[in-house]
Amino acid sequence: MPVNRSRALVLAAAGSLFLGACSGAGDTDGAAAGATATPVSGGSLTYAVDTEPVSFDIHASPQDITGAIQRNVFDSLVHQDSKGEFHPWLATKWSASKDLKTYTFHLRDDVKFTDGTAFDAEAVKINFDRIVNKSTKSQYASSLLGPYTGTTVVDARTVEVHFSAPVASFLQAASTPYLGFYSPAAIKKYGSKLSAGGAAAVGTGPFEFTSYTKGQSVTLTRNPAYKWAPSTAAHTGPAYLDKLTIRFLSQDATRVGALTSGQVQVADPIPPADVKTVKANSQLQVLTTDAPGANYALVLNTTQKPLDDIRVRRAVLRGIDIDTAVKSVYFGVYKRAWGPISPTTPYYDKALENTWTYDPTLAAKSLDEAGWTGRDSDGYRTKSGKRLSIEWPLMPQEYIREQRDTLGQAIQADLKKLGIEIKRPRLDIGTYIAKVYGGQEGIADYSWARFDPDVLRLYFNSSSDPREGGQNATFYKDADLDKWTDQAQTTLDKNTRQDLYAKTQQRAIDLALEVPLYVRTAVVGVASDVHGLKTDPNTWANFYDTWIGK
Amino acid sequence: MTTLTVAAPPRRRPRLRTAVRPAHVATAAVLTLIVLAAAFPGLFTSASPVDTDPVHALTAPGAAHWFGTDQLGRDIFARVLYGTRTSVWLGLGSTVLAVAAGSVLGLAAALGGRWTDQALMRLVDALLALPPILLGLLAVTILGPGTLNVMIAIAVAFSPGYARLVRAEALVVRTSGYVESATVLGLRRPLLVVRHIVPNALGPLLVLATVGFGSSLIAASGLSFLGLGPQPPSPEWGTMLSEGRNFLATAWWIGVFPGAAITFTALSVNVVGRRAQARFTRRTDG
Repeated sequence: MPVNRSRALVLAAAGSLFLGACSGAGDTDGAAAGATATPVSGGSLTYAVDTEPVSFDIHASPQDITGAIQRNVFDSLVHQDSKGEFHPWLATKWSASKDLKTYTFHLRDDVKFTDGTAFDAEAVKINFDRIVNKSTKSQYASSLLGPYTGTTVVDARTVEVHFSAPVASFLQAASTPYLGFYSPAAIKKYGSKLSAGGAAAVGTGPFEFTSYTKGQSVTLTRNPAYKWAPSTAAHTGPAYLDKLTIRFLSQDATRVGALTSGQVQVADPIPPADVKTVKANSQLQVLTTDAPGANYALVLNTTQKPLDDIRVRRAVLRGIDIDTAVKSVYFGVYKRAWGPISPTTPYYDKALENTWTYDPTLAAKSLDEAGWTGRDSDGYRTKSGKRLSIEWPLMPQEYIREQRDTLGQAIQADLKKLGIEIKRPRLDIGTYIAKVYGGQEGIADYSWARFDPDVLRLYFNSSSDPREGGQNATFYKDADLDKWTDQAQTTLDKNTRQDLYAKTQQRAIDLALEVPLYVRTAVVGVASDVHGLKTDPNTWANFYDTWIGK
Repeated sequence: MTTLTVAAPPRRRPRLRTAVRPAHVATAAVLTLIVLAAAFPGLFTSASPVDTDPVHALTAPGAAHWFGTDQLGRDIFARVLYGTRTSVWLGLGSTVLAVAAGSVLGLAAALGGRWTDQALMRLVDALLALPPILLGLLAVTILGPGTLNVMIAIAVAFSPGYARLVRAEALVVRTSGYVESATVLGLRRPLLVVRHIVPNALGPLLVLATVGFGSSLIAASGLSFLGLGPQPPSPEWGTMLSEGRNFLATAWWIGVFPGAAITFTALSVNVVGRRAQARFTRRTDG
């Protein structure tokens, strides 16, 4: 027996070596092979995700996972491709008034909700009005509509959406699932129960929402009548998959294990530490996409000592070895960031790259100039007897993702070498929000996913005060940043926007308002017999073109 | 761990009343190591427990790093050593607090009259109905994370058990002949409690506390594992275990060594506790 067993082990080891050797080649042309083979209709696919939506109501929920799941069930007026260009979807044509306060959409005339109700101008009005209705308690969609004043039904196929102020980013907003459309009949019938998902979620999308088991899974089935996919899709007509099951597996090890053992065909996300293992398996492939929006960054509070001094902020900016830290914590899977927004966000300023590399000598000089020349017994710098200490609180463990606490320890160690003490008390979430967004802490850390440079206004415009629902935790008021981010919202001219957004990104780094750390990256593990799976600009997996090979 | 192989089983069983077993030798060795590591971690390693070295991140155990390195290139051996003080201190401190709180409660119940006894013991019943780790979680939720708060939380969780024991012992001692004689001789009540009741109820309490130390250590590591204990980068076994759980498939050493440290410490203290318990029972029986 022992002999047989050891021989089996040797065979298994040899087999895995062989498979490992194959996967190197399989990796790169897996997608290409999928594109050339003929798609087959039928079959079912299981997709494992790490979060379960708190609410399935696209108009109410601010969660990414709600959008990612419901993208398969709900369509939008327009489709945005990965380059930021817009394409017809439920709307065939559109135009904006010169002052960007009115948008007119001409709708397709053959679209039906899965309950048989026709999609028309009235449906658009009912949905948009529902989003801004106080009783919907919208946490995100209403902010996408912004200064919305109302929708006018011109005729059954034409709607006008009105705003009280110019909105340049409305087409982008309209392309998200959060401004998708429920069947008016379903809104009437289910009202506030739309958050529960299931049969209440009636849309026009390629899949129907069949069932939801709390803590377990969501089941979607193909919408056989679907024939209004955006022109950028690889095919027309109904989706290929009969059934799409979404399973909630929050533990990384469980999710990765479910993928490697074949229980699920797609797993999202794959932690960077496991990417090598998944890639080494010839039955699996890994898709990585840079996420759009604001990069994960240290946001420096310019109203608190000692970060109110630009020389201290510059020392922090130049005194962290970001390359090494990001590479070691994320195994080279995530890229380090060079600016406030990610390279896949429209109007990203490439000119910032490599302009503020790690320079501990420069950082030390900057601190000397700021008067932090003394040293105490623990090796930290002092000025008139006071230690150079900055507080950067930690959220409770369950809110920390992507090992940001580990990356934090690397940053802490680098700054300690410079003589800066970083204190990281762990606060409960209520205290954390009250103190960080109340401007009482030195450093805050976050990222913000959105496929639109308007996220720069959210981060650096002084009207975006965190005490009033904004996100500018630098608390800096700068006339230029305010002017540029406001102006960019009032024009659709690409050159003007390019210029304004580039200047904004550069000024944010010049003023050392934040320390960009890494570009968030979606890492999806996919079984090799799954073809045609693409990620959309939001890095969400899109299952419309997906099919399973034999 | 090497101590286990050092202690070979003796061929001939010595004819002593209390046989010295290999397990006891191993236990003594482990405990000596733990005490030394907690007091002078610098004796065993020159590496720093907090200095990062990303170039050598995730190095497997070897000559340069006995226990390997973690994701930031920190030496796990140094971290486990330096973590001893925090972890043992957490277990010890919370046990002392629990014993103190339990003694006060137990004595108050035994000597405070019928109604106090009833009220306190029903409270203790209620607390005993909840698993200690749950009580600890509740306490740390109210107090907030941190070393001292975890200590208090664990003390809250384990004190009901001690209160029960102290009450029972105090009741026995209170009705004993010598206490009655002391009362008859006119010894005042506070003096009576301090001079007679407490010392005589203490024996079994110490035994239970030794065994309880192991449980407290594990519970404290559990709270640290959940991110509620001492905050990184300071080394602590439970926190290290939590940091290592994402790497079990790729770098087992990050989690295994602090886990082994917790296991061996709790096990050794338990062996000592059980032995003390056995001796104590024999002494009182005989």
